[in-house]
Amino acid sequence: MTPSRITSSKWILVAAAVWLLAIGGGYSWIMARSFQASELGENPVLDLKTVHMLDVEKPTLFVFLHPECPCSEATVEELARISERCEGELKIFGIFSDYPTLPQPAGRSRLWNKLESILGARSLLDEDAHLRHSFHAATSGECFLLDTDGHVIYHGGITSSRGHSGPSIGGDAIISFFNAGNISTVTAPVFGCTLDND
Amino acid sequence: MPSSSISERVQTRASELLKEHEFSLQSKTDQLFGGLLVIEWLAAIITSIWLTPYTWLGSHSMVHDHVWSASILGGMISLPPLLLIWQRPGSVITRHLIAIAQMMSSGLLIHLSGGRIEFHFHIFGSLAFLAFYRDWRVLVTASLVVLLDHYLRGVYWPVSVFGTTTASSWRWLEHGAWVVFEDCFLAYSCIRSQREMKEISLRRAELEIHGDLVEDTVSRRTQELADANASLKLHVAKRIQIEQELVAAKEAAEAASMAKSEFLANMSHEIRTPMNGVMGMTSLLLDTPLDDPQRSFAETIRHSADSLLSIINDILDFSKIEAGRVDLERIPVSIQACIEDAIDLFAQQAEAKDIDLLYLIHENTPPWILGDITRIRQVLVNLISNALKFTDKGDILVEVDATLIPAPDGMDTSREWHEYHFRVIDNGIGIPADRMDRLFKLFSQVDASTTRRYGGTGLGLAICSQLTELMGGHIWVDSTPGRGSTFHFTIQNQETDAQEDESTPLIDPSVFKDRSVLIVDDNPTNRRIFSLQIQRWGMLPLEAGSGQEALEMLERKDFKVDLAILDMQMPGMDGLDLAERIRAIPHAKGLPLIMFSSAGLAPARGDARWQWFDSYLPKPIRQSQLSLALARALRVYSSTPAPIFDAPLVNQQLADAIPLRILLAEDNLVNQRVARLILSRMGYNVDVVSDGQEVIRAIEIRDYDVILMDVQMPIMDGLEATRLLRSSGVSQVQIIALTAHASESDRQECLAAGMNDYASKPLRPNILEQKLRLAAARMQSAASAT
Repeated sequence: MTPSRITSSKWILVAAAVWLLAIGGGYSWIMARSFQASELGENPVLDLKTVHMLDVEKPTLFVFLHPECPCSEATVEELARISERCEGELKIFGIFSDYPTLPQPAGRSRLWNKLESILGARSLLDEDAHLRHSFHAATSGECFLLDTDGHVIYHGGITSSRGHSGPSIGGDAIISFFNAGNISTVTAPVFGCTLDND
Repeated sequence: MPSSSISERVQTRASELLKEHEFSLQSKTDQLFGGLLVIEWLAAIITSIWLTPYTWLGSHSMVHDHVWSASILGGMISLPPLLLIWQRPGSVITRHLIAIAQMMSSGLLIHLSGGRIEFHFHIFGSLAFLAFYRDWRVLVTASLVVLLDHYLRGVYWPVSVFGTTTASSWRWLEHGAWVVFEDCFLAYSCIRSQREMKEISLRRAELEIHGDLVEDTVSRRTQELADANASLKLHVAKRIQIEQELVAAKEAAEAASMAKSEFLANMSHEIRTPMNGVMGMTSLLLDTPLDDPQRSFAETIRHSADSLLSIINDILDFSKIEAGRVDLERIPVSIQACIEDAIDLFAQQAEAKDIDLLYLIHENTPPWILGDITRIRQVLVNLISNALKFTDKGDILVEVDATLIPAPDGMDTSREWHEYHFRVIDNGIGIPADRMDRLFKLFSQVDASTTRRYGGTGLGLAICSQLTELMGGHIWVDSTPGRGSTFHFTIQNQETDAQEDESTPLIDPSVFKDRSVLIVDDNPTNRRIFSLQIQRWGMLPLEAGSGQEALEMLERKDFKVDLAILDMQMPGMDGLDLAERIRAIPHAKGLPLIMFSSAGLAPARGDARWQWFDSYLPKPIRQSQLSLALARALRVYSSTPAPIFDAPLVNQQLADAIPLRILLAEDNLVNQRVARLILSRMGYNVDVVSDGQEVIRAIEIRDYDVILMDVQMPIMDGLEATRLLRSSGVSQVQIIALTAHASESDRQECLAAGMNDYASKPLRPNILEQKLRLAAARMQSAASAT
């Protein structure tokens, strides 16, 4: 075969270079968007109602979710992995914010049911955004791992980027806490949508 | 063409074919990837809309970044390659851009799917698909994109590709190694495919080049063939011209031959016409009172006329054989009758020279064959005539036997075929060995003195040779000078069933069974033939070579014999003396005796001793006559022997015995006179006309029993007159053709015209008498039938 050589005219090469740069730019943009983390709020102040939700024998993971948000979808998928790896030693509450603009009530969303199917997980509707405010949670996918006494063990996201499931710093930290008894990090970026309208 | 040049042409053409094939392959692959990029673009949009349609800000939703990315970035990835596929299919940059776009699409799809590991297989599938280009460099480009992507992600977003922020800075190489791992196999596959494509191109180029060479060769050969064909056509044209000339020459030769035959026939006719006058008048002259010198002169004239007629017949025969106009008949022929007829012709001559004419038909010879009796007899007559001519004393034996042979090609196989071997044996002067080869050639005789002494044209044996060849055989001669000759000839014939024949013995041979016969003859051949013949009839032959020997045998009282055959002419004691001596023996007085003698010494000669014989057997021996003579002598058959007398040349009482009204149609005055005189001598009053029209008029006036019709006459010939008579209902009159045209075809033509019989000129009284008798018999037969 005749050796393959790029012998195209100059303008094609220039156009190709421009094309490559454009694609590179596009990729950079979507990557930057995917890895754009939200700011974490302060640690939560637990009220009595919240304290009663804590399990007396094992840690409890509070996860704030948006019923339609892809970031919440990725988070729930990650929860399933974490629950499986923790072998039922973790109590999980999925706190769904409710909005009147949703295509369907949060309690009937696909994500609600998906979370219910995870071992040790339970879906809760955060009426009046009470819990969200209590926990100072502002981003979908934001998690709070509390021990039986209500102390925060971990606070942050459990996904690697926005809307992307898979191994993440937060998820691995929680799993390592249950497997090794200590947590590798107490906080990690959270990649999600804003839960407040502001 | 030199082999190096061919090799260069092959290489060049192989390169062209390879390029064409690569271009075709890569263009098609470009098109496939074009479709795939569009599908991937659409899939990205659909996937993003399905999985991540919206992003949310609390209760507010907006289009998700993924949807924009799939739509815009996907378009940016797909459209430029599509443009190149459209504008520059098969080009190098097109496939490299496609490789980049395909890898970008993989990255986009992986991202849009939320980083699902399953979507990573898209990269490996795409690499395999890119191998369709059979260009490993495309794999390199694609793999570089993957490696660059992993490197950059590893540097900036390690979590996105390794799932951890603490990955090694070289981990991108680990991922890239798997891609390279696949690349190795795919590249190897590409290189092998390239080799195969090269080989295929080389083979195709070789086929094409050699096909071209073959085509050139075929074209050149075709031209050569065309040239040769043109040359051949020219040659054929020349040959055709020569052939036409040959045909013309042949036709001219045939015309000349025809003219010659016509001339010979005419000459024959013209000679026969005066000959008719000469011979007829001579016959008539001999019937008048003549003194001895006058009779001698007249007989010389008749003999000379006979010789001349024989010569004419020979010449006519020869010309017909030469012209291939001899048609052989296939009718039943009795071998015995044929030989006897031939021998009978020479009986008087043989008697005059004191020569015994004998024949012997061996037992293995089928008695009846399908053949041409005229031609067989002609050969026999010729050979017997020669034998008689060159033999002064002794005997002439005609012998025949037969051998079974396969049927000749194309001939009827229903009955068996035989080769008949005739031998004419004489003890004449013989022929020198160095002269034998010329015997059967035209106009050849043993030497010039032969012609002077014995006469002859030298045509007879040549005609015999040609006739025997026509009959499937051949002729040859054995001879010892001074001791005699044996002429052999063979013919091939099919046997057939026995027909009625006058020569068949009338006596049932069973009456002769166990009778003993004493044969007294000084000629051992005669004794042998008698012995063989009577043995066939169940008799016991006893032989004595002289009268004295016979007497000694008979004088013995214990010698018992039922019959004796005595030869008339024996040295010392002839047959009459012997008979007288036998009658003197007391116990042999009643012994039946048969005189075996030539016609010239028949009982009519008046010797009183003839009375001692009970029967008479004329020479030459004929089986039927021998049978009759034996029967009479043994008193098993009573009939008075037919009187033997010298018959006159013209039967002057014929008209009394067979009264007929005869019309003679003959234009030639001499012939008219000859015929009228002969018929007058026979006692007939004849009406004479000179052409066919006069025949018609004569028939209207008077009823005739017989018309002797010349064939060639002025105004209306005999054939036309006959046809006219037959077509007008005149059927009872017997019409006998008289013509100098003596061939078989002439005879057939006469019979076809409606004539009843045929007599050739010169007219012979005995032949005419025979024809008239036959005509009377036919009339009587027809009358009794009605």
